[in-house]
Amino acid sequence: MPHQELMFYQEKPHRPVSPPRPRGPFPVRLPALMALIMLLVLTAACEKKPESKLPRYEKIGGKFTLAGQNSQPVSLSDFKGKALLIFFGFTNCPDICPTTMLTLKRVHTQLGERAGQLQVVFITLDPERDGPKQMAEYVAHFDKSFVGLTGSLEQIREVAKRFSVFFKKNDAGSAAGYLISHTDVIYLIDQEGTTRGLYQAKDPVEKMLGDVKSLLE
Amino acid sequence: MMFRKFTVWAAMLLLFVALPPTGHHAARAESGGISVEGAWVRAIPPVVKNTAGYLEIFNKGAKTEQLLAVTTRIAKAVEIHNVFKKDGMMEMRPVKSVPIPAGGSTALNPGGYHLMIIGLRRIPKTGETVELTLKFRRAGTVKVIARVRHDAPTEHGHGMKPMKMKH
Repeated sequence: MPHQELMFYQEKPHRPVSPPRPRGPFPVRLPALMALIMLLVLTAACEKKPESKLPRYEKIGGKFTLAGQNSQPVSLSDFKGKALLIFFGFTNCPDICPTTMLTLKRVHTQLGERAGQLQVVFITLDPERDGPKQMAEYVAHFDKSFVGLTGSLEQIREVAKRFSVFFKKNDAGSAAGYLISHTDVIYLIDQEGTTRGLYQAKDPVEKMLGDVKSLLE
Repeated sequence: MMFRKFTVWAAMLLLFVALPPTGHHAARAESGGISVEGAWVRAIPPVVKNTAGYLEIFNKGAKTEQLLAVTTRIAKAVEIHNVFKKDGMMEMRPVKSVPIPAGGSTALNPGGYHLMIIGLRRIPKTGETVELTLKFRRAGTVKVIARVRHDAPTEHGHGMKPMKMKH
């Protein structure tokens, strides 16, 4: 009779196929849990900061030597150990350049205690009008720690080329004299001098800040 | 019941009409269908002889208006500039005028149209005010008081954005 067969099937004892589950609140087996704890302890004990996931732009940037505020030579290697945010502009630029400098200032400030690990560098594309003193006073307006660099036109051209910065003198008939058209990319350089980030001047502060933080201790 | 509802609505309407549409960070200038608000001039380091000015122009008239020229006593010249992207490069160029559509507004903001204040005779300091004289094609002359600021006013700080009211 079908009914009887069904009852018989239901009464059949259920044999577990897998080994018995461990008792206690943990769904994981004890040995596995211990292994996990050991791994975590080892990782924490290492104290080595994981490698930042930022890309490496090996073909953009690189070594440079320009003139600092006392006309002394300043090289990229002088900043080894610090992350850098570099922007190229000119002091007679009333709109984009100050706006960008203020953005960089915001990133710098928001690093709080770690701000000392970031160096903001402003490089002029107008060495004719932007001498060392001009540059020093200009950047100091935004933050006392910012560095302004200038040099000969050849030196500036060379550095601009390395960073894929395009710039052009523009005589648009302004009473201000010539203006300079230029690409407005901000460069993030890591502590070893490799370019790790490229940003537009109008990118949100958070984007740059997040990337900078990933490079710092 | 109806009377109470009416008074509530009347009170709300009165409140709306009575609220001044100015942002309290700069005076509002008005003349001939044109009103200018939120004017500010960027404070810059003394070594630099040029700076930028920004503002928002509202055109209440029925025809397109044009800002033709600006002057100020604190500098030799003021030009209206716009930022163009050409061959990947940002280019700032003087423009002949700025159009303001009928019943609309045009903002001069960082990254776009802006006033280039050239050959500063004195360095504007944060907190000070600068008078700008704007010349419009239809509305004529409008004098505006601009506040000198270190940075652009944000949405959430330094007062609320002025309410745009349609009359």
